[in-house]
Amino acid sequence: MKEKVLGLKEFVIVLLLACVETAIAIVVAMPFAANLQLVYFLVPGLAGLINGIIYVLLIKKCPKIGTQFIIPMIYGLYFLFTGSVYVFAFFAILAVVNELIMLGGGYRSKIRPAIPHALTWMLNSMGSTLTMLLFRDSLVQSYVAMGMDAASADAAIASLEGFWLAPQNIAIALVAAAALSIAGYALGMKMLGKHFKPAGVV
Amino acid sequence: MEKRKQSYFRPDPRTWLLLCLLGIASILLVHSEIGGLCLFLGCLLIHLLTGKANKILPYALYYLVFYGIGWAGVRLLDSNVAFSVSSMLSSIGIVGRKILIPLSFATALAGEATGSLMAALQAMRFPKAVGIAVAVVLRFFPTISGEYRAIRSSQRFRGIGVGVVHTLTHLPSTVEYILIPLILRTTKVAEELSASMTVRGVRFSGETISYRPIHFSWKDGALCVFMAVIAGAVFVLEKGGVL
Repeated sequence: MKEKVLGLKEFVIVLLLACVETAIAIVVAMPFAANLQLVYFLVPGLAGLINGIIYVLLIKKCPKIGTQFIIPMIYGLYFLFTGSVYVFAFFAILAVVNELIMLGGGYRSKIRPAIPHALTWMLNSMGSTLTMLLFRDSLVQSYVAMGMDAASADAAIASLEGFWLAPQNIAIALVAAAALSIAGYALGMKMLGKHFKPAGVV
Repeated sequence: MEKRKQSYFRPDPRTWLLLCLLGIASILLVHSEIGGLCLFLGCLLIHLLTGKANKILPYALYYLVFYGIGWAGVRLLDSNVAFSVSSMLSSIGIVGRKILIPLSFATALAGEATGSLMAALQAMRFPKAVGIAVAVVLRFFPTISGEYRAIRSSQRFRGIGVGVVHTLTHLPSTVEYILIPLILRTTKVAEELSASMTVRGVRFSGETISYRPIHFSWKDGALCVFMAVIAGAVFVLEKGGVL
């Protein structure tokens, strides 16, 4: 009988490739880390674009229950380490949602697997927004401790909030992340035929 | 064979795991600069007590570098210079220092033997899958960075990704030629790892025992209590307006 849940070999493959996805997301953010607009509007989508290749390989190699759960969980753990426990919780919820999306023959569909991938990177684009929202006190206190007066620190944080929480900015970030991650999924499908199938990986 | 006496205390893997969780909890609760510094000093003291004195200087340097980045960001922000750059620099500086605490404990956990780690996690009543996942993930990052360096050097030899200008002008092909071998190597590593685990019987049910005995002693408990007390004291002092 064909197993529906990940076996040991598949579990390790998904785990390691999910780690690579996380590492790529961190590396992609580095060159843009000093620019607020690029970090918000471009980086999550760019990570989704590149990671689309890994994601497609994962779902073709391990089309079983557990794959969709592990990918956001590993990425969420990275946020947990950076102190964003709420963002980790959001990724944990997304992990379950992604599994539910793929139930009932999701892996056989060509379109449906793109949805969890897009959702993951859309949530990633909101990760910084949520971190900003949750670490407000910490940021104000740090600014004050580094020589800023309390009023200036509060004003600086208010400016930051004006950027991160502006509805039009949230919309742009979500649309950019969705469009680029769907493009990443398409790129992954192309790479599957170009490299992975001839190499006998899938 | 003469048993060499260990000159320093070697904590149980569970201690590092608990310290890591305590570190995450403490950076969530403590918001002040002085409080953060107290936590960091407590973390360094734990490393010193566990014979990891060689790690103190690099961690202190990282802390200073992140402090410098944060300070520069706040100065620029205060002077209304390049808002997008200054705000990001200040965030990197602040969050970077926070991460150092749990990350230093996670690094120590990664240094534990796989068997000890899995036995310790099973003793904590975690499912076997969690033990496998933790052991694999902690070991994987150094392996994959080695693989990445090997791929980069072989691609440079072929004239791919040589210099910043060349990389930027041929970005899609450079990414493709580096990423595809990296993914293929990762898949191979995963297959080898799972084969190694299978022949060692990891997938079978039953108790996992370690070659090295694991024991959560009073010293382990004291280290965890020490970290919890520091975090608790700083939190209370912060709430009381002292820090």
